Amino acid sequence: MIKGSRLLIVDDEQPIRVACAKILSEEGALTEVAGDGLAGLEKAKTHEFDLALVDLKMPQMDGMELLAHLTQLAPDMIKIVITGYATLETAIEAVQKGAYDYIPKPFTPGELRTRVNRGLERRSLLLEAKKLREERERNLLELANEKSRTQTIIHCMGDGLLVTNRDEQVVFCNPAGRRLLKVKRPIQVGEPMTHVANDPELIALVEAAMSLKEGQEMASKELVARTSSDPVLMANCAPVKDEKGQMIGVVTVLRDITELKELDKAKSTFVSLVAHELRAPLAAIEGYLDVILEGVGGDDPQRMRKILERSRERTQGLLALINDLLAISRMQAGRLAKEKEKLQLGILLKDVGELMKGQALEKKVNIEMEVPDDLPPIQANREDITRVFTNLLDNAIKYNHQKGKVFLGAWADDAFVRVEVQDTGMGIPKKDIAHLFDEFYRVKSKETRLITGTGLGLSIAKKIVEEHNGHIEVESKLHQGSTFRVLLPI
Amino acid sequence: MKTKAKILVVDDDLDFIEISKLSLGGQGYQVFSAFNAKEGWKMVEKEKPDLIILDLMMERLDSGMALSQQIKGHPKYGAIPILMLTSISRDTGIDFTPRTVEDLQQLNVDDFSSKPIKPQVLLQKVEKLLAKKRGKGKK
Repeated sequence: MIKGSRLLIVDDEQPIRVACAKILSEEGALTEVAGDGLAGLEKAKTHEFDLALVDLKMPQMDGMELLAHLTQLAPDMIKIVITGYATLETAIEAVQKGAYDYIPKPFTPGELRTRVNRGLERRSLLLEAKKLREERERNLLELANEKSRTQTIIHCMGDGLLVTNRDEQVVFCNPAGRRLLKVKRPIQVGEPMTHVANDPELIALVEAAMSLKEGQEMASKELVARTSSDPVLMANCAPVKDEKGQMIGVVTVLRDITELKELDKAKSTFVSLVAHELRAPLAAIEGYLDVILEGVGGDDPQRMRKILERSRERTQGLLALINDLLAISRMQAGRLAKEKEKLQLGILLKDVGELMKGQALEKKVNIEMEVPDDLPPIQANREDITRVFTNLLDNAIKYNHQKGKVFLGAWADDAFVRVEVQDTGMGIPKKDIAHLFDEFYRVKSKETRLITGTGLGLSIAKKIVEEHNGHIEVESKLHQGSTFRVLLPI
Repeated sequence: MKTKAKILVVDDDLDFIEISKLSLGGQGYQVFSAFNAKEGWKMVEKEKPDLIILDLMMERLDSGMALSQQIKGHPKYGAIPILMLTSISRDTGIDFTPRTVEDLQQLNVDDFSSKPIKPQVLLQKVEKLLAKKRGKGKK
């Protein structure tokens, strides 16, 4: 114990000071000596000591006063009093001032070593106890933090958490759980689960989780919404086991999957629409082929030619549809941001306008353009923007009258470039305008009957414009024409 | 015989009208067409057809049914046989397919078939209905 210990020896009698230091140094202690209380205190202020031997009767500052100072300065330091006046009173006073032990003079080196050793043992115990205490306090603090952290997490979880015991009583339910189970009041611990969850499917699932076979970790089920305003819930029930492997309850996690279900539904609606749109032209082509193959159409070559021409139109329509579908799928698969460039819209619009003139000519439709060269550039994807205006011009020509007019104009506003495509065509009935940009929506009328189209052009245009943070709108007057207006941010 | 018969096809499917015109026309029938129930009724009054091929679903789910009711309830046109066609049963989940004679009467039609229909089958059905009509006429 003594070896390596740091000791302070304070005594005004030089021989005792030296003798003590010598005895203890021989044992391996690191010693410092001082001739009076004041000098001792100075030493204690600058060095850390494990133990101090303090004489009571000293000049400047006596032992009692030094003891008090030392206790205040270093409460863990062990103080042993050395004195020639060994009376009970002084001993009691010294202990009150913080001394641990008391060595009456004269003493033998053996006695000194034993007392110092015991004092150092005491210190080591004290320090160990202090360390343990500090550790425990730190652990408690951590535990408290951990607990409140876990509580906060569970409280804030978007998923509902319901914990039930073996008797199907509620042990815990977080706010999301209450919301998903539509329980508006606080839930009491110990309430029967049936008071909280009135969905028999959920109760059956929790029960199933309690009797899972070895190797099965969870019972999961989608809980069907009972009214259209109810959310569709995914419930995952996992049994909770104690250290002996005994089932003590069930943890149920509830997740609102309404949106996912709706996405799913929208997807399958789209697929069924696509299937329908693909089947119609194929069925028509088959019909035409049957007329020829079954020989019911007669052998008039003109009739034959008509059949083949109609079939060809239908295959062209199919191809156009497939191309549009691929364009949509490219857009939807576009998780990566599309490559955008500084686009000179004026030049692009003129190019598209020129390109469409051939198609317009077939219907004797005249395309007029009022597109300035110095439109501010926009940040956009060239291919996509080209598609938007090709689609709009294509419609303006297709739904126009013979010898009609198409006007393509562009202007720069403060923050937008405004492009308008006007036609002098049949116009769009009011009831159709709301659905105009829907996928596969086509205006059905006597006049549109012979116009081919995929029903996807405008929905693609809208998707592209919105992807560019722009806006597309339409104004129309029946029998006078329509104006499609596109705003693209500069 | 059949060369003179007038057939009205009421359907909003342009291709089906075309196919019917080609196949029935190829067999010598005179084929007229209408794209919806309203036009169909006008054509009935104008052409007084010997037989009507009618699509069940046009502008509305039951447009064809309304027209067949109108025709069958009319003193002048009630005897015109109607062949009703539909392609909707599988898509919409609504099954209008008549299974008994009573069903057919309920629909106010003389025969029923789902689309797509082979031109040969269509011809056979048309011939059968016309023959039945002629038989009734003789009585």
